[in-house]
Amino acid sequence: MNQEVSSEDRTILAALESLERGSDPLVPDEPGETSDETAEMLARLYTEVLGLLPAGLEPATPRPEGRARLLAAVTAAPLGKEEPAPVAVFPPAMDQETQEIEPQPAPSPRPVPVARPPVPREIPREAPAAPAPTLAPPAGRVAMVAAPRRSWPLALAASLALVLGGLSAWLVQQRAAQEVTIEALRSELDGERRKADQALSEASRMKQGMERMRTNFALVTAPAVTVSPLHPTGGPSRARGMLFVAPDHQHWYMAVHDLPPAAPGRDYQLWWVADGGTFSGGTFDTRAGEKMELSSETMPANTRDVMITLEAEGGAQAPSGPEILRAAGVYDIS
Amino acid sequence: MPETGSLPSPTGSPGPATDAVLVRQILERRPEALAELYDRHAPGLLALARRILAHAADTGDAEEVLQEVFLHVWNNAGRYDPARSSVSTWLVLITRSRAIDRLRSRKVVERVHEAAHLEDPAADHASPEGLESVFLRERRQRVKAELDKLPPEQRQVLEMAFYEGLSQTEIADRAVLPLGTVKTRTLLAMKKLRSALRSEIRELL
Repeated sequence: MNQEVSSEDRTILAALESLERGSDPLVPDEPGETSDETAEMLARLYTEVLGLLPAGLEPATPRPEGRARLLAAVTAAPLGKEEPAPVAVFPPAMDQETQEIEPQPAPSPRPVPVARPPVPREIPREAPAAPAPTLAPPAGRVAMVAAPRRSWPLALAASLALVLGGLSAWLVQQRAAQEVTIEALRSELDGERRKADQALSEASRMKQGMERMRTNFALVTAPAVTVSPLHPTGGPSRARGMLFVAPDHQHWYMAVHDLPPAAPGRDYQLWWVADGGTFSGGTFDTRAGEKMELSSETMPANTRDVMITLEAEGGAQAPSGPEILRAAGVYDIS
Repeated sequence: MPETGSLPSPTGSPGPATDAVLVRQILERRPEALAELYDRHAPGLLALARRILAHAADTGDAEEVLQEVFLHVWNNAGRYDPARSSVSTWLVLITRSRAIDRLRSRKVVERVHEAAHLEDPAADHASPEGLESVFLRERRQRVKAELDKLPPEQRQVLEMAFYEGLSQTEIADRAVLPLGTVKTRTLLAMKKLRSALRSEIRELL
């Protein structure tokens, strides 16, 4: 090839190279000797020459189902596959027929059916307003559709909060009621425990009383028991008593009848009078009309008399008050 | 270019919409515009695809290329630049690129050997008389006549480059010619066509 390659030749070769690359129609970037406009025009001219080459071929009729399939595909195409339509697609330097439409207002997007059967050969000039969703709905409609999407989570959250709040209140109320019930049951249980303790205590006390009665009964019915009556020593009195001393001279039992209750601040006190002195046997009080029973497993040795005096409350170290009853030397301690 | 069509222009005028207007309407997601563009150019583009895939066993390949081309137009109408080419040339170049890509694929290459003796499937679907517009028929006749006027060696290198997607070097190897000779023949052919098809080119600008 000639070494002097003209600008036109370079343009033609570049156009052919762009065919090899499968790229878009050539745009010259090295105008060389010619101006930019001329280079662009040359590139455009030879691009159109290439585009005209297949015009000499005998045209072929595509299958009708191919057309229908294409239109079904584009009408069902998701919005995400669309590319934004740049305004610069039709620059001011476009051809005359395109220029004519430039000042005209852009038509509003028409509703596009989402899916429809194969489109007939005849294209309707004015597509009726189909109720199907459009690819590019008006902004107002978008806002109307988007609003519920934004509000339903709040409504759901509010409902859940109300439900949870009500449930919490109900649970608190139920817990309070249960605590009251538990407290009542605990008090009732404590009461029953006290009753049981009292019953046990009473049973124990009765058992002790029974045991004491059995002992006293054995004592008073023993063959070698010594019995000594207690008589009033002061003025006239209905008080009286009976002393039982076991053969071992240690166990004893005393029963006193009709002894009036001691005056306030005063107690009755039992005294043992033995060879070595007078010893206190303890203080006691009585209730009106009741029999008083006293007993013990010990008593001083060589006791000769037994007496009951009325002393100050708590007792005295030695007999100092009036003598009420006495069993004097009447029983044999040997 | 006095293109024909049934869609009204955006102003509502009764005249047919041009290809450029149809592309603009496709940008507005109007399927009827794509249908109109398909009706205008699909026969020629299908012929081109069949010419490139002439030896492919599967006659559906060309139809599939046609589908791909118009889906590409639907999804990439914004890439069309009227300053670079007319819509028809844009469609031709897209179709050629897609068809040659398919031709180069191993699958199709394997079929070529199996189907070498089959009849040209293009004849089965030739366009019925009367469907082709008068304008297109006249243009086809003029282009065919000018191509026939080219010396066979010039026409050969041009068709090898265009329909078979061969580079100048590959043409030189296949035709057993110096690379410079191939380039010279190609340049001469292109310049003659540019001169002979002035009126057709002017209609496209």
